[in-house]
Amino acid sequence: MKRRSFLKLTGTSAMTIVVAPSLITQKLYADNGDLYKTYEKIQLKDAEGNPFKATALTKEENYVFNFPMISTPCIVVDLGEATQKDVKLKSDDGTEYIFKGGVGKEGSIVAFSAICPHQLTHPTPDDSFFQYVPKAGKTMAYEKGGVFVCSSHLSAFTPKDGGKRVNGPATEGLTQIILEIDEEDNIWAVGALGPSKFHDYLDAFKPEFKKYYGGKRKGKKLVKVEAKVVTLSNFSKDLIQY
Amino acid sequence: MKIKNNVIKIGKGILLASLLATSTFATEKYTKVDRIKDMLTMAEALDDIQMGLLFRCKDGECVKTGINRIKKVLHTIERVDPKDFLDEEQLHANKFAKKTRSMIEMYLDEIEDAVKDNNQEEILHNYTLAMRQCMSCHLRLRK
Repeated sequence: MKRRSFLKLTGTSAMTIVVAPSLITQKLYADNGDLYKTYEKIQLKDAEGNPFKATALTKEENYVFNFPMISTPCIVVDLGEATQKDVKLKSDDGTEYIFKGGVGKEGSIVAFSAICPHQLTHPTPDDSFFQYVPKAGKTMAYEKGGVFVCSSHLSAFTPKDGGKRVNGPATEGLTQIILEIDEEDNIWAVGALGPSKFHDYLDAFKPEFKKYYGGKRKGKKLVKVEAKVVTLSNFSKDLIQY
Repeated sequence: MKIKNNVIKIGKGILLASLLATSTFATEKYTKVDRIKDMLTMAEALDDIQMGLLFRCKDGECVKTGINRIKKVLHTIERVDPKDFLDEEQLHANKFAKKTRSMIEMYLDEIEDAVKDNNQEEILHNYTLAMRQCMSCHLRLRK
């Protein structure tokens, strides 16, 4: 076989593995595949560098990790109760995608991109206007807690329904971060499902990347191997929630 | 000796006067009228920047003018107590207002760098992002 043909063959095979969701545990996306993207599988680790276990999550606490790029924050939460399953959601352009449910023993663990789809509000090391509000909590954005709230313009999203938008000026739901939990209770992030705001975000916040990540282009770097998980209160100096 | 004592007395008087002036300034309220005036200044300053994008001034001078006018207002807003200019039902949003202020300044800094590089596309890009912040604040706080 000629070298060029061999490379073409292996390249095609690699691409198949990257984009075929059936090789991951769930079929998640609409037929055209636009709304689902896999990334290098990364392990969540604690501040000391030890594997972050699913059972270590305190119920309804906000935990932050960066994925798929080093500048794109995500929040993982153990909701304390099982989520809905097979929720059909739609992006702004009408493309459907399916939220299969939470992970973990009780199906209660979910992760979402912490970038509001409205105007891209997100947690930074200085402050956070975006977080999960526990069921017993109060928010101006919605009639009850148990929602993700963007306190910039008061949009609310239900994690039990795959980050569906339930109130406020946002027109789409949150991007779900697909997690896997292995036999040793380790948590892995593998992909992103739903309307992606990463491109717009990377375009809009380059000056921030200079401040927080040492350079405008550095914010675009993909996370490799592992991501550190910290509580939101340790990630951001000031938590603002309305 | 007498001259030295007089100099010391004058010096103390000047210091006391300065302290009084500073404390008076610090307690001076920033009213809604002041806020409206400053908002209009910023709107005009955005026009200045737009003129630069349309090549209606030399060497981007109007862009620099616009940036400086906005930054001057932003520094005022940074110092004042939001309670002076926000309606009562909006007081909770004062941190949001301050955050928006800092974001606008961030994009203005980018515009300044783009002017130095004579990069019109970058000026336009950051002008749009700054404008989005203005709109963001108004969306939340302006009725």
